[in-house]
Amino acid sequence: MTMPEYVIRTEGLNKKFKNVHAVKDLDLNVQKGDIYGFLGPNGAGKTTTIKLILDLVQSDSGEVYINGMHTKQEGVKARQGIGFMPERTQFYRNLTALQTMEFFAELKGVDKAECDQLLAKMGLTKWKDKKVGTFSKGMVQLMGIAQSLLGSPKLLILDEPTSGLDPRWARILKDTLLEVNSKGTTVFFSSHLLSEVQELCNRVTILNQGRMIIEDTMEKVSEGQAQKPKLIMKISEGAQEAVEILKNAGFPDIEVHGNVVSVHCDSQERTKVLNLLAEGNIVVENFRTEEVSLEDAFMKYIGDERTVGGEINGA
Amino acid sequence: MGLEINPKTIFTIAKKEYMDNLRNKWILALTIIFIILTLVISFVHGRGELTGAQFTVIGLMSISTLLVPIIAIMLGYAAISGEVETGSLSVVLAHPVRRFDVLVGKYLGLGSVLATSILLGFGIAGIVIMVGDASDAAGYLIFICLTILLGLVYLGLSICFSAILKRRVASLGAGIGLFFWAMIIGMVIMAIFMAQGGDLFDLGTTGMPDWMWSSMMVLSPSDMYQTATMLGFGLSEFAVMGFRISLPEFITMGKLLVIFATWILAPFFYAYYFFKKRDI
Repeated sequence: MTMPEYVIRTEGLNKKFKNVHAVKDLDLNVQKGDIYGFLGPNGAGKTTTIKLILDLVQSDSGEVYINGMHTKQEGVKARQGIGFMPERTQFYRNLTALQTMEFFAELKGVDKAECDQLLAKMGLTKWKDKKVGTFSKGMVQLMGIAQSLLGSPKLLILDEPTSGLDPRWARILKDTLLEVNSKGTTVFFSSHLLSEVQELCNRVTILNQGRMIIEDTMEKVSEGQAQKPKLIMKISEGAQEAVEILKNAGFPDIEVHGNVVSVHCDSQERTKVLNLLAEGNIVVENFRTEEVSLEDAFMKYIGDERTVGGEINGA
Repeated sequence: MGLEINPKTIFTIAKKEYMDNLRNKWILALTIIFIILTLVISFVHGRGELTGAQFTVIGLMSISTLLVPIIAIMLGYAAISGEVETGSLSVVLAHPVRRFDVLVGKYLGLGSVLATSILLGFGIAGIVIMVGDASDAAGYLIFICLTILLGLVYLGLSICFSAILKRRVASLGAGIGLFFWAMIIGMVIMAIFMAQGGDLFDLGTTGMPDWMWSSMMVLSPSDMYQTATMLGFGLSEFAVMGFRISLPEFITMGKLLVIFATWILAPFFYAYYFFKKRDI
């Protein structure tokens, strides 16, 4: 039996701040080669978890292992070969971009020749001799990414990496993550953007109010929810009657918002739904179908009552 | 796990602090003010009746006891709390480094900026003085070293506040508090003397009682500094504001240096105690 290689492993991790239980009994398992999405709304405890992993924040209970090394007992060794970018950081106001990169290269013990290459990769060559204090937020963010990539880390930990980036640079970042992953870097990143996680990750954890709601492969998380697409209908009147008819016909998960009724059904059932409503003299003004996205799953998991996917306008 | 020191980490952090803070516009501005004031004093004193480095140094001390603590506090107050707020410290500490080394590096880097500022401030004045009379060169060098020690006391204390307090603003507040404490501690001791029925007139004739000397030499960095400087010039008797002051025999340079060292090292280890387990 071969044990999977865990790059990050946490066991029963807990952290309380004054009146917030930020992280509750968290067990994370990030395997070698993963692009691992750490998903949750703002304030879910993502940043605290990342800081617990890196031993920046002291846990109240629980253990963290990086590459099998306990971060409390072998912290310095465990943190070798990690690239980290925090959320919304600022660097040293009076150092230039190149000096900042060289500082981190020195801390990592990496060849300084990489600094120029990574600055070029992040489009900062033109500004490399300018003080970081004069940079825009997006440029600082790019600096943060550049320094995290120094020394081709085996593990890359990024906290909300695309926040503050314009779409073009967000794209470049995503491609960079896929590229380093294909060369063997395990990527662990947090996000509150579902699309991002859905696009990049093979595994995902959903965190809400400090608690892990699910940890699974991307497919399973998307699949685990109502697999059938959603049929969204705008009807002229008699929404309640429509619900009754559909319920009696055995359709589960019927939602009503004003005169918009939605139901999960596949394409064969769709005709049946529309026929049933026609027989009940309910006029369907228009309808559309929507594939179930992770967003639906996510919202369902975190119990958000907002309707997802938009309603039909024009009521 | 004992304290294994990694000189490379210390040097890298120190170099970064030095490069970043030497270009800090506040530190630059204070250093320029420092240079101008010391130059003015050294020229004025050189031309008056009282020449020689010793007399110039009394004038210079009135500047350094005010400006050096300000520069040191400015350098130290945000060393930890400020870098926690900006988030850059989390990047640094995510590297394979020990917090002890990072703290030592910060002390050394910021201490070097402080020393540079003092050497510029007093070095240029020193050249002016030595051109006139080089007989007190050794005393003047001791004076510069003592000024650096004075700065290190304030630097260490303000870094300590920065390590303990959560917010940058709070550690700035503590730094300002420290500055005013240093300004008034002499007066506080004087007030205690008066409250105990002491007579101000006696001070002029019989001098300060030993307990006053002891408390000033332990509690008031600026008095320690000024007294040590006098001893550095080989003086044990001098006039201040019409009072003839003679140092009691139990005050020696050696003891003062031990007190300085304690003031510098104790806050460092206290800061480390908090920094070691601080949430970043």
